[in-house]
Amino acid sequence: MTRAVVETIESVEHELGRYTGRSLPRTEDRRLLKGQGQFVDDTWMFRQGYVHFLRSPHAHANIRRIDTSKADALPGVYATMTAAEMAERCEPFFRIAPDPAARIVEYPLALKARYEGDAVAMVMAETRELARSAAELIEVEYEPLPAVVDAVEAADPRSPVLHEEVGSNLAWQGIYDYGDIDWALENADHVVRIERLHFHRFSSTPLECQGALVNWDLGTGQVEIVSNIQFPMFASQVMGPSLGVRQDQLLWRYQDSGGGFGNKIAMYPQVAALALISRKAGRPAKWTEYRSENLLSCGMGNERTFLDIEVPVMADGTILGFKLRAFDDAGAYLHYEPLGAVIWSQVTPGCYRFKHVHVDYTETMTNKCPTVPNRGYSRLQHLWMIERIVDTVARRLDFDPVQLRKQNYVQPEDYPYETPNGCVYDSGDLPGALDKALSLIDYDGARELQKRGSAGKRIGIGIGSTLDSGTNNFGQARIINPDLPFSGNGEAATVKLDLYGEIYCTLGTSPTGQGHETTAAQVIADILRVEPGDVRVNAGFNKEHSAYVGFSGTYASQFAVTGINAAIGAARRLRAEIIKVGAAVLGCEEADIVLDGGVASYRGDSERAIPLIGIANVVYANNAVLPPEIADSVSLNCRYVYRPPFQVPDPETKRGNLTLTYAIQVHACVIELDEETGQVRILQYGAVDDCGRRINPQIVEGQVHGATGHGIAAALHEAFNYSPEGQLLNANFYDYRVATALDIPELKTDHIESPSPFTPNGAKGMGEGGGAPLATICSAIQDALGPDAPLVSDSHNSSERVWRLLRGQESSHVDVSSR
Amino acid sequence: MRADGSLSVQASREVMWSRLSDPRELERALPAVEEVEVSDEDSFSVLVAPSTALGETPLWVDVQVAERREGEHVRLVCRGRGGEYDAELALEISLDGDGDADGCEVRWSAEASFNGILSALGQRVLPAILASQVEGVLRAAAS
Repeated sequence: MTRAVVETIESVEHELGRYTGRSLPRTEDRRLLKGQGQFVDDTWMFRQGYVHFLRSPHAHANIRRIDTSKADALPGVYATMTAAEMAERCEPFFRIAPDPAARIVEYPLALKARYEGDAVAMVMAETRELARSAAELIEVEYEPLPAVVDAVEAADPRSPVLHEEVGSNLAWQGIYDYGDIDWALENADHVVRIERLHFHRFSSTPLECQGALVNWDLGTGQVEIVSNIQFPMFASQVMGPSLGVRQDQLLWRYQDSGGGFGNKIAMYPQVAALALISRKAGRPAKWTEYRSENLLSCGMGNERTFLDIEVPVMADGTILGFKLRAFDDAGAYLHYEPLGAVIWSQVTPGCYRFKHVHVDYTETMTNKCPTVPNRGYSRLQHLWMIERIVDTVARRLDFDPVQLRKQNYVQPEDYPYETPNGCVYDSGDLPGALDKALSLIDYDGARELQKRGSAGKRIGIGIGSTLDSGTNNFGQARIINPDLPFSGNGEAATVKLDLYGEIYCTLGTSPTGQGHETTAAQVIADILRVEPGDVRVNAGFNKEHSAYVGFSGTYASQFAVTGINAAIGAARRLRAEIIKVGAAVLGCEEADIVLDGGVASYRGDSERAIPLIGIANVVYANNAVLPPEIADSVSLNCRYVYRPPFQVPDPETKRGNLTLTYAIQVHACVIELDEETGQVRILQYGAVDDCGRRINPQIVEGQVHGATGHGIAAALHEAFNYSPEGQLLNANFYDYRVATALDIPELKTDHIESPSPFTPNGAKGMGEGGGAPLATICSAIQDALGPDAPLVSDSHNSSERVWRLLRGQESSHVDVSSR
Repeated sequence: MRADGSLSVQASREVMWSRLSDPRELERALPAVEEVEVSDEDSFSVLVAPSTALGETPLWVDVQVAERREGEHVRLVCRGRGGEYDAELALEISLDGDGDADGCEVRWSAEASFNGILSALGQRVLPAILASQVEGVLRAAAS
């Protein structure tokens, strides 16, 4: 058995603090608030054409014939492409999944329609509107097939099969077994059994939809890609072999992005299609996704059904663990899946000291939009389920929900805490966070209010405790597929002293609104002892800067760890070079150099000094004055790759340290439930976050607000509804009810700072705490419904569902057996 | 999706029948018609381009008169196809009344299904829109 080990980390916290930890205004906002941002759709290339993807109206259909001749004949149309043509011009995408799902043959366009919205052909034309009109002229003869839209049904061998080459709809199946659940169930004083819990489908609906402008330069062979994709280096690794190009031919860049939340990770099929039609037409190809297209086909969060849940509980309230079957719905294709089938296990016991866990996990493909990472990817489903378990145990065994949580939480003195599957929770204070959350909502007052009651209204109090595991160990992919050549993680940055003493940083990350320019400048300013305004951080991502590694991107709550520590590492290297040159010029030992205020000076004699412009001058333009051994050893252009201390997990036992940091969110709320309509009104909402050392508290606060709003919206409003035939019934903002400012209550926030001992700067990744409100609001609805009400078994609770719950019409059976 | 209704129109049964059973007359009553091709007295095709939240959503609709009881009842089966959406509609219209020249009663029922992006447009109000469109056509036919 592999025992998880986390290396001792050299802390750099003592070098930070002048600007790190301060709520400096965001550098990015100056241009964004003035409308000077540069988004993909603002980008233009000479001779560009506009692309429209023709999407299938059927959820499942064979394509008997496609005729593009009428579209081709339309004046202003530059090119059309079909899947059959694509299949002749590129190789299928490689698969993360092991056999049999590894047999899936997928090209950038679909040879068979597997969900409503599947792109079956494309048109490039002079204008966006013309491309869309021309797409209407493409004649597609479909042979509709029966569809399957439920993950559990999809596992049934009698269900329609999406990918015939696989032979079933199975994306991945495996058993996670830790401790001894059979012993626990046998020896527990009580066993609580829950028939079914269901976590619904929703998305993140970023303000800016997906988009890309791709030019395949026929002369150089370079493929220039301007795209707001979130994880360009993952896309690069998938697309290179498919398109038959070298990695250095794929030049990714963009400046600003209007939000991603994970949804923009899996855009590579569209980008690859754009590359191929660009090569065919000899023109740059531009695609800007329509909102309805985004909702229909961009990607959705994982829907998960938990069945046959068994929870062993001791008489004193100690919960020993749980056993269940989970069915995850991957949708029609595995664009990032089945990684979700292991990523949930980063938080196997949730916030609790559960020792015995048995999860029989199945992921299936259905005739619905493919799933993609979505804020809290794969963990929020699992964490929501655990919170429903804890609430149900409290309710059915008559424990106080606050005390039950406090008793079972991982305790402050337990850290670093090793979970049953070898993950190591780094730091935290869950009971303290819960106390703060309860204080924010005036818990005692809320209970009084509940007791008093009022006609036609019910008061409910809810608690949700979740984790935001950040900085993936990609070695966990081997638990899914032992043949995958991935492990560890990393990020790159460069920090350069330029010719006139300017400090310039490039990052390997691809920001989508998190303030990377601001926070990187803060830490670099601390290391180099300058003002943050003296540091310019390149906006967006540009592969040509060579500040990237294979894992570069923005995902998995890791910038504060990977991106920032890469920037810190590069700044420290530059500092060492500056000091080395300064010592040579000033004729002293390096130890005698003090770097501060943009000047390297001799300790104790501020007159004996050289400014950064002078350092730059002697290296770039006057290097004959330097001793050769100095001149040859400095570049003032320092690159650093931060590598988190990971080991390769054991695929056999499914154990290992899968994630480096664990930010904590504990939320609490008070709701008022209208008995007549089922409408839920949030009266109080408190959110407590612990993400270790905060680099810029205001940015952290913004992320907490965003994630909380997102979670509240998902809990009460946002859900993708499919018909049994696989038709998405709400692919627009009229029917897909995105929450507005009017739906979000006044949020009360507080924080705890438990520095991570595993990161040089003590920070933890954060921003994916969107799961906590789902658990919190379900908990509050359950509390409001009263002791004899049916179980709140779904994560989405519209007024209609609450109305049905009030009338006992929704039910997932709960049974308790006691010794 | 199903919808049905009835309404009184200011046209005799004979007039209504002649307009509802004649594709060229019906063209006048149908909204957003751009083109009509008549194959025979029981089948014709129309290109309609109604404006929706997506902009113009052109549909080639093949209409088949599936059942006809002279002056009394007609059942139309319509299949429409756009690039990224299609629609099917089965519409039954019955004319009641004693032949009074001042008006007659029209009863109708429709069963419609949509595929593709059209299926998601205003899902909650689609039955009402369908009813409004059908009654609009009947009123236009009567005028």
